Amino acid sequence: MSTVLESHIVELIREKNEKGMSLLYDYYGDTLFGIAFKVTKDEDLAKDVLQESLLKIWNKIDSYDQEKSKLFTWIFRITRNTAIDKIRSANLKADQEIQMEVSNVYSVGIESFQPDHMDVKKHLNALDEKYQVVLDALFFQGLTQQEASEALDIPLGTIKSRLKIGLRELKKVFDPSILTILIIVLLK
Amino acid sequence: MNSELEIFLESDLLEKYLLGETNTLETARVEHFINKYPEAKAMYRELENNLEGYTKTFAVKAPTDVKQRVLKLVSEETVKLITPAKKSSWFYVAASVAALLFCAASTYLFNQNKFLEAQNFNFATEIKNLKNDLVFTNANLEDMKSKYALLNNPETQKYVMNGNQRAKKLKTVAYINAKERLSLINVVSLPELDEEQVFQMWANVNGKMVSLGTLEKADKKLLALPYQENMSSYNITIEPKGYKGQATVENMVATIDFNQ
Repeated sequence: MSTVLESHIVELIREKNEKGMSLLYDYYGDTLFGIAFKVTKDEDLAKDVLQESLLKIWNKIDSYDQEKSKLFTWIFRITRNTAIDKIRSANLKADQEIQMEVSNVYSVGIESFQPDHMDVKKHLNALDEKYQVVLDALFFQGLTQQEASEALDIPLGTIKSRLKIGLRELKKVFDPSILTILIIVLLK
Repeated sequence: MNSELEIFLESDLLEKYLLGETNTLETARVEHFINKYPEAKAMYRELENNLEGYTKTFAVKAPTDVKQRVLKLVSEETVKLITPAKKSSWFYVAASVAALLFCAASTYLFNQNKFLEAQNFNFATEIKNLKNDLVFTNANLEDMKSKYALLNNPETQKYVMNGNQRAKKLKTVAYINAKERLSLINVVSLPELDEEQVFQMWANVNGKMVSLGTLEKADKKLLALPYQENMSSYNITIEPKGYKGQATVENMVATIDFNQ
C-alpha cells in the first residue's frame, strides 16, 4: 500500500465520499476481517465486528493523524478493540480457553488466505513459536501483558522482551530484501 | 546512542503505543521521543510495517455482503448530511410545542385575569355596601342616642295611653319634652283592625284636632311625633283608610291629657 493511496483514501473518507470506503474495503477488508475472525473465532461475530469497525473508521476519520501513525496501524487498533469488546460483551471470553496454538489453527473452515501472503505465512512459521504465542495472546486474545504473563505462566519481563524481540524479528520476514533472498533460496 | 534514547528503546513503550495501549502520560512520552529522535521514529515505522505484514498473514476473504451493507449505511448517512432540513425537524417540533404552551398559558392567564377582575368588582361592591351599612348604622346610633338622651332628660314627661272598650289591647307610652319641642311614642301593642281601618293619631291644639298621621305596629320601637305648640292632648281614633275629615268623639279609642 502506497502512502499516496493511503492519503487518497483518507481524503475521500474525510469528504464523506463513499468511494473512499469502497477503496478501504478493497485494500484492507480481508486483513481487517482476518483480525476480527482471529479474535472472535466466530464468522458471524467477525462480520459484525468488521461492519462496526468500518463505520467507526468512517465516523472518526477526523481523529486520525497521519503524522503520528500509518493508516493501517489506526484501523488495526479500531478493529482489534471492537472485536475484543464484542467478545467481552457477548460473554464469550469466559468460555474460551486461551489457545496458544499457532494461528493457522483458527482459520479452519473458512480458509482463504490471500495468495500474496501464502509465502509470507509459510516463513512466518519460521518465527520461533515462543514469540508467536506471545504476539498472539497480546494481539488477538485481548490480553494485557500482565494477563498474558499469568495465562501463559511466563514472567512479565519475559513477556515484554518476547513482544519486543518478536515484533523486531518480524522484520526478517517482512523486509523486502530479506524476503527476496528467502524466495531465491527457496526457488533453488 | 543517547542513553535516554537507549533506555526508551529497551522499554516496551513503543510496542504498547503501537497497539494503542499506552496511557496519556506514556503516549506523550512516546510521541516526544518519536518527534525528537529519528532513531525512535524509524523504529516505530519498522514496528508498524511489521505489524501490518504480520496481521496480513491472517487475512481472510472479506464477505461482499458486509461491504454492500456498509456502503449503504454510509450512503444514507451522507444523504442525511446533504439534507440537513430533516435534522432540524426537532426544531419545528420544539417550536410547535412552545407555541402550544404559549397559547395555553395565555388562555389561562386571560381567564385568570377575568376572574380576578370579577372578584375585584365584587370586593369593591361589598366594601361600598359595608360603607353604606356603616353610615346607616351610625345614623341609627345617633338616632338612638338622641332618643335615649330625650328619655333621660329630666324635662321629659312620660304618658301612658291605654285603649278603651273598643280597643282594649291598645297600649302606648308617649314622651313629651316641651322645652326641646320633642315628642316620642312607643307603641307597645295594637289590636287587630279590619283591612279598611287604621288607627289615626291626633293632637288637640287650642281646641282643634290636628292629624299627626296613622299609627302602625312598630315592634315596641320609639317613633318620633310632630310636636305641636300649645298641645293639650294626644288622641287616637279608628278611621277608614285615607280618611281626610275631622276627628270624631265616637271613633276615639284612647287619649292622653297633658293638663292632668
